[in-house]
Amino acid sequence: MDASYLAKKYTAVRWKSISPTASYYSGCSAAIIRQFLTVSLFWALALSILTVSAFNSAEAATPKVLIVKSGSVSVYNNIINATKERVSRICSDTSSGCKKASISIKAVSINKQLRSIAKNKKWDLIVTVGTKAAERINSLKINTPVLYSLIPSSSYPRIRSRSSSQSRSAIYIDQPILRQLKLIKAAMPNRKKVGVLLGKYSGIGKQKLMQIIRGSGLTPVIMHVNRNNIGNRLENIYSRIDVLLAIPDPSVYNKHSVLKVLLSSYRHRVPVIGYSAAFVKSGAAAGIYSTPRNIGHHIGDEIGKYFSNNMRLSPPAHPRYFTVNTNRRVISSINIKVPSRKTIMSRIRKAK
Amino acid sequence: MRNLHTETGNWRAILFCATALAVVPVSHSHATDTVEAVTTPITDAVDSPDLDAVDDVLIADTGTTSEIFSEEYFFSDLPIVFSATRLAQPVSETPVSMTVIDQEMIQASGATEIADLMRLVPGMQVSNYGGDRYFVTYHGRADLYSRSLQVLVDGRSIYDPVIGGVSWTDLPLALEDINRIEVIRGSNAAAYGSNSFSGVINIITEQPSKLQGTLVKASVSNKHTRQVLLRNAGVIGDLDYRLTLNFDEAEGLKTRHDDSTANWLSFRGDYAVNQNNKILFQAGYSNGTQQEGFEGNFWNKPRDTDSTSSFQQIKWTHTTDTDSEYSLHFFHNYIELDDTIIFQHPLTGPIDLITGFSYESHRYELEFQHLLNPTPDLRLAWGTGLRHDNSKSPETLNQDSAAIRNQIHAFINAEWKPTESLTFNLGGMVEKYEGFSGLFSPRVALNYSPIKNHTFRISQSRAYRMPNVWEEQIDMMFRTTGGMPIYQLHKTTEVPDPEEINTIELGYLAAFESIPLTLDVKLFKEKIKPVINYAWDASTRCPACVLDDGAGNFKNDGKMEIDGFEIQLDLDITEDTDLHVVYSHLDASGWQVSRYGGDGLPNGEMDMREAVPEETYGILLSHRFDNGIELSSGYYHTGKLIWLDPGDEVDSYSKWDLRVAKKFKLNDAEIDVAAILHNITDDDYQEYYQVNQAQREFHLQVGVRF
Repeated sequence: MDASYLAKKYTAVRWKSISPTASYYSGCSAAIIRQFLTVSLFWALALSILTVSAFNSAEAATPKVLIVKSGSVSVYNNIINATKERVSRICSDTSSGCKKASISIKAVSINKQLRSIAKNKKWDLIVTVGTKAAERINSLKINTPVLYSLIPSSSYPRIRSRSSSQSRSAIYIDQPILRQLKLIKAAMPNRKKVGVLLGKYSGIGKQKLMQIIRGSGLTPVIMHVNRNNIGNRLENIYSRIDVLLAIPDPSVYNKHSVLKVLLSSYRHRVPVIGYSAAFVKSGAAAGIYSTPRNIGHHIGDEIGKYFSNNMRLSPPAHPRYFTVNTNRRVISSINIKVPSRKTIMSRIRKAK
Repeated sequence: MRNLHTETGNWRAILFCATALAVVPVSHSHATDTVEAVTTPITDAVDSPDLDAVDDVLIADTGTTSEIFSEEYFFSDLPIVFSATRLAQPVSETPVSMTVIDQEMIQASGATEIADLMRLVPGMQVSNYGGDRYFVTYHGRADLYSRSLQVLVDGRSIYDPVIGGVSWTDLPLALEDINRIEVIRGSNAAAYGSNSFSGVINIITEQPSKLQGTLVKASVSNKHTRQVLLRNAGVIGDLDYRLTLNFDEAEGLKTRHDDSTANWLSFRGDYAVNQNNKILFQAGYSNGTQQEGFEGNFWNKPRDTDSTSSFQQIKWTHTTDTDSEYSLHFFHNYIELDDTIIFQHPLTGPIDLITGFSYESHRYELEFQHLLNPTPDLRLAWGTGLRHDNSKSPETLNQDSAAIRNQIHAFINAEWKPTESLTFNLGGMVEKYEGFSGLFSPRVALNYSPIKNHTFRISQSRAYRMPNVWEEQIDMMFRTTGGMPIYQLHKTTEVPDPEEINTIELGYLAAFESIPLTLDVKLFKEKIKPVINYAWDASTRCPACVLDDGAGNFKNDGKMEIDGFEIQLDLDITEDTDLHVVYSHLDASGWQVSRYGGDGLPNGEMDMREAVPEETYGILLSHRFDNGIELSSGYYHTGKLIWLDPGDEVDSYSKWDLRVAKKFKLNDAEIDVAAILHNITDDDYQEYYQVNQAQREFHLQVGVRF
């Protein structure tokens, strides 16, 4: 039984309240009561030791979260602000689990002090924001539960495999394929043939993807590409599809290739569905992505849930909140009809 | 629905599109009102089916990439590809009527010559001079040089200053390398430069990145054409390149002495310096021989001519982050024709006489252009440039020194879109040729879409055609090989003024998304005055000549009006079946002097009605079968017309073509086999000369791409 296990048990007990359920007492014998007392005593002892050694503070009752951001740029700060805002809103909500005790959140960047800050046992949960923070925390070999956020879903298995914490989960940066397909169906219902270019970091296999696209009632056209053949493959795929769904992958979509991808798209009048605000700004017809604010809100939800749910992290997930954006100039230029963002959003919500 | 948009791949097209695009600057277009689905989150259980799809290979690779795959990938900026200067433009917002011929249509047409594709454009006439020499004209009134059309290849004007036209034969350009051809039907000097008189053929070659790999293509025909095309395209670092080599031999028409060869090489390189700067470099070299002349003609006798041409082109484009673009474009064209004729005349007996059409010309052009969006509803394109033409032709100009012509020009085009349904286009070009007074070519257009999918357009424009070097200063005669003048053939006695065309146009365009139909109707009135007429002039004297009875002369006597309408319809009957129909009805009137008496007064004129065909139409239907077989057929009709000197009156004719092709894969190679029949019915119609009799042509093409 290692320390993290103990800490988890301890916090779970604390949050669930120590009083056993009524059924626990019903029909209980003296032996059972004695056993219960022994166990309780053991726990009380363990609790007091931990309280003294790990927390060494009177604020022991306040859950503490350390957020480690990968840098100091505004993206991270916006996420953290949104997280804090969300957490304080949740905790002010009387129906939520954190109504009694507010959650203390400390945000730090990756720096030399991080090791000593993070190794401090007082943290109930560490949230990393971004890949660098995730890798840094992993390198510290600490056992505190970690929520890795703002990482590509395809890199989570690698991050997870290097994590020394037993309790960990993730909030990805990228959107689930089904949600992207919902955008296509909501924004351009007549476009059925969906093209996808897969590269080495796409994080999904061709067969699986075909299954998902077919399952959505659309027709998949999937091609593997690399830096050298993307030009030819683009011509080929654009002539066979109604819409190109861009799945984030730096080997496919990057600063160099985006020009080709989009110029061909205009020539073939095939809209591109982008995965980031920058992609839509650059010239994709529409995009679905999560803004820093969207992700911050999800992290906030997750923190609140964690402390109200037995210190259990939800399974790894794509961002709960997302944004739909369209590029009207591109839409009018390639002469397609796309409803307003509000309409698209409500259609996506209604889609099951 | 193809052909609804213009390509913006080259500078003139960009300029043109810049003048007509209706847009809001990028800074306004993104992140305007993003919507957050805060209230109804999509649950992860439903939306994360791809979690299990991550496999170990992906994970192992991640660390080795030079590309960052982290949140930075999602939040870092990408180059603004979509900008005012690059985006395709809805045809409904262009100030002109245009026809776009894309690669798909090029293939379906079964055309073996670029010029032949112009049959797909309403109002265009195509003719075969003999051998592999074709020429095109818009609204008739042409000789073999298509003088009134501007032809651009990636922004490079291939209009030759000496002949004042386009030599399609010398063009180092394969049909396979073309991305699309945009044909502007009507004058548009304001956007495409001088000599965009009756229309503009704007050829945009394919980006090398789209052609990666090697193509080997061989063609043969019953006309004894043998063609081999080799192409390799690829990527070296940040450079995309394409190299094409072509070997061509043709035996031409049965009735003509017109065998020809054309061997050429062309290169295109696209170099991305960085996100904001790119350089386009192109070069080509071509060498060929053409048989010329007619049996029984004592001086224009059967002979072999030799031509060489080359070009270099470089264009630097700088895109700023504020959605404006600067470009600097330089090119040099060189053409040399070796056609010296040594003959004996019945009157001079065994003495060798000499004449010929040999010439050598250089054209250098440098141009700067700036595209910008000063306000969301206003777009501007302006630029300035200079041109230097240097032409040498002792045989036709009677001078050993070069004829030099310098030109400077400046242009501006503005597009203003005050409301969603209204687009104003205003443009103008000022050009000044050394020795001529300045010329101003304006264009005004208003596009109005009262109902979605329906656009009405009214436009008015003026353009000029400068006399070419021959028209300006031809002085061609028969001499003895010792240099003694015998007889004057052609001589310009007074430099003619430029031709001027004034056009008013009403257009209607219907383009739907729900049904794959585009209909473009154009009504127009063109007035050309003055014209440059070629006429026999008995008053043109050559006192030193042995025989002095007048000569051909270029003057400004005549005028002409063409009224008419053109219809273009594109219908995608099914996803794999396309129909393209064009029709033009031209009603011309006017005259030009064809003969001057000894007193220099007109004593013969040509009715210009006859130089314009009343009816021209074409239909192209194509279908792609699921098994890779492509079947297409084109039917083209050209009304009766008289081709200007030295052409003949030729009767109306129809030409019916058929193409069957199959694409298949063999190992890693893509193989494309096509059988093409031109003139299925074996009609012996005439083109340009009455002696040019058509025959059925059967072409077989095999292409291997790997």
